[in-house]
Amino acid sequence: MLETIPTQPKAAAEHCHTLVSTLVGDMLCEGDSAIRLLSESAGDKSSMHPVNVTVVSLLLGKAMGLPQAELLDLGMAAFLHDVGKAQLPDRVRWLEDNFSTAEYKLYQEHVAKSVQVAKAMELSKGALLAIAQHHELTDGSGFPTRVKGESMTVGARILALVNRYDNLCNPSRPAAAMTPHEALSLIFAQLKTRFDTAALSAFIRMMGVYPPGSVVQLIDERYGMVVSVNSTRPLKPRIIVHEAGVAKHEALILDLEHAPHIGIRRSLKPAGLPSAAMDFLAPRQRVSYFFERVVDSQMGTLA
Amino acid sequence: MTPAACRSLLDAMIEAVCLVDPKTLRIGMVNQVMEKLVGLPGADFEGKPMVELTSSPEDLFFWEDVAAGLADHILSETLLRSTEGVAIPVERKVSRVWLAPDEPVFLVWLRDLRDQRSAEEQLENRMSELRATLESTGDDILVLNTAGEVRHYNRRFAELWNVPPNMLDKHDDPALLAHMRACVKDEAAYQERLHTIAADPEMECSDVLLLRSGRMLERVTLPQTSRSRVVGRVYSFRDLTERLDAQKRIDALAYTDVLTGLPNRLLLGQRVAVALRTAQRNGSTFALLFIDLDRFKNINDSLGHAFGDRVLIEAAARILQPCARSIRCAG
Repeated sequence: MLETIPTQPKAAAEHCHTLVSTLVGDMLCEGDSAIRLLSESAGDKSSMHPVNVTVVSLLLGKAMGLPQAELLDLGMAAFLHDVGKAQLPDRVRWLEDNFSTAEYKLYQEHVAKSVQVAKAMELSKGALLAIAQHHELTDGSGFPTRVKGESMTVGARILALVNRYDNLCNPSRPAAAMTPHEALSLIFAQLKTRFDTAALSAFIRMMGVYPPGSVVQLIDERYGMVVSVNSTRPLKPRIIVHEAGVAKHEALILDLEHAPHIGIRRSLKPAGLPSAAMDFLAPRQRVSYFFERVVDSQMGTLA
Repeated sequence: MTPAACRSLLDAMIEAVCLVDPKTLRIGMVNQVMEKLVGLPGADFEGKPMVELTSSPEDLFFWEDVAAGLADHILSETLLRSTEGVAIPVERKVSRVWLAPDEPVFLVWLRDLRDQRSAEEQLENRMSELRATLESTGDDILVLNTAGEVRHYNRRFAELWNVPPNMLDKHDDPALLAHMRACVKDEAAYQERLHTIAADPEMECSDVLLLRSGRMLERVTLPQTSRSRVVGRVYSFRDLTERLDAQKRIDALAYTDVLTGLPNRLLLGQRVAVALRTAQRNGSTFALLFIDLDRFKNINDSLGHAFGDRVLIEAAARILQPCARSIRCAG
């Protein structure tokens, strides 16, 4: 779809629109949606990031009660926010710590380029604004225009937060990747002033402290994976626990709310698991989100 | 316990510790290690809400649960906000203790994880360097532990043996080893050799494997040792097929006549030398038949060199029919 943008911008926009409306429709009409991990071994970085950001932004938009029209704008903006990067040289597409001033400037240009493309695609004003402001921060330390939070649209505030979150979880250098829990904690502990308070608190409520798919170690040393959030008690999600000698389909699902003496001690990268636990939990190397309808239980199935 | 006694107890502790008032959830007493960790004198943060110090979502929800009477202890990793605004990774334990029968208080214990994190990071970098080295070697490598389980392999190994991707993803060791067995021409001999190798953990050997696909591999195996103890076995494979084919082509070019395909003068010299040595050693004799193509020059001169070549090819074919070996010497 993205390949057709330069030649047929309007057709591509329609295509995106269909995709985003399907996502929005599914979430608004079909009841609960649960965030869960999706295998993305096939996708490369440039095709995966927009999908992650779109799904998580829409979920957050919905949690914050955005009306349908604004959700559509948000979805379009989220899907296309980095579309201008295709016009940049490879080495400046993804932010690196060692960028020179010139490289950093070039990197920042992707925002203007994305807006240009989005205009050619005749996107709505709301979507254009969200794309234009997706690197602005509420304390005025963002780019390109350094506007403050009050001048940002709600969509832009959501997109800026989710974009940063996904970049922490799925950076271009996989060794620097944070676990979803670490990314949330860091945003909250260190970057709180840069993001919208309402969006941030809704985000944490929605993702939980340990988002689904997080690999965790319990205080009794066992390993497990978070399968669903408990939105009233975010510290007490449901997890699937690894025990030696137990087959995966018979594995224990532990509801921490009903196990007051067991808690999560830390989250860890899948690569840090001992191999027996790794085979059992089989987490994906890269984190990507998808939502699925919850049919007969609140518990997301573990793929 | 008097406040002074309490403070001396806290200051005697090796880790950063503070007390939190159970009603207000504000920081009471802090020890010296805590002051150092936070980077502020205790007076600057005593009396502040505890959630301002460890400001991750976890802490926020934990102290909410405490206020609602739903929780009274936690042990997990979190982030501590330091004076520079940088988040310090710490392990944090909160428990409710009674300093007097009617005086519950929360004891917060923090352990700085920065050193541990940087050691982990170094280890991770070292690991990824090692992985990169494994991927950049010219050989195809498979590492098994002493129990015969797969520990490592590089991408070249998977390519050489045509291992299906889903088999690699599943970490299904028996399937992988069975796949290798099925690739080999003589399964029984292959299996027997593996048993011999497995029986001697210290064995070093090199074998040649013929695959069903027609490829020929060299397999070198050495024990993998760690602290002078055998912990596994490293197999490296090298594809010999192309090298053997090339060697055959080089031999063919060196020892045969390009036009007729007959052995050339170089090979004649070698063969005669061998025959001479054999005859000398055994006291036997041998004969050399010299066949000349008479008036061949006439053919070249009247019908052209191309036709001359055809005659040579035909003559060579006829000589080969009844005779075992002949050599083309002249033009």
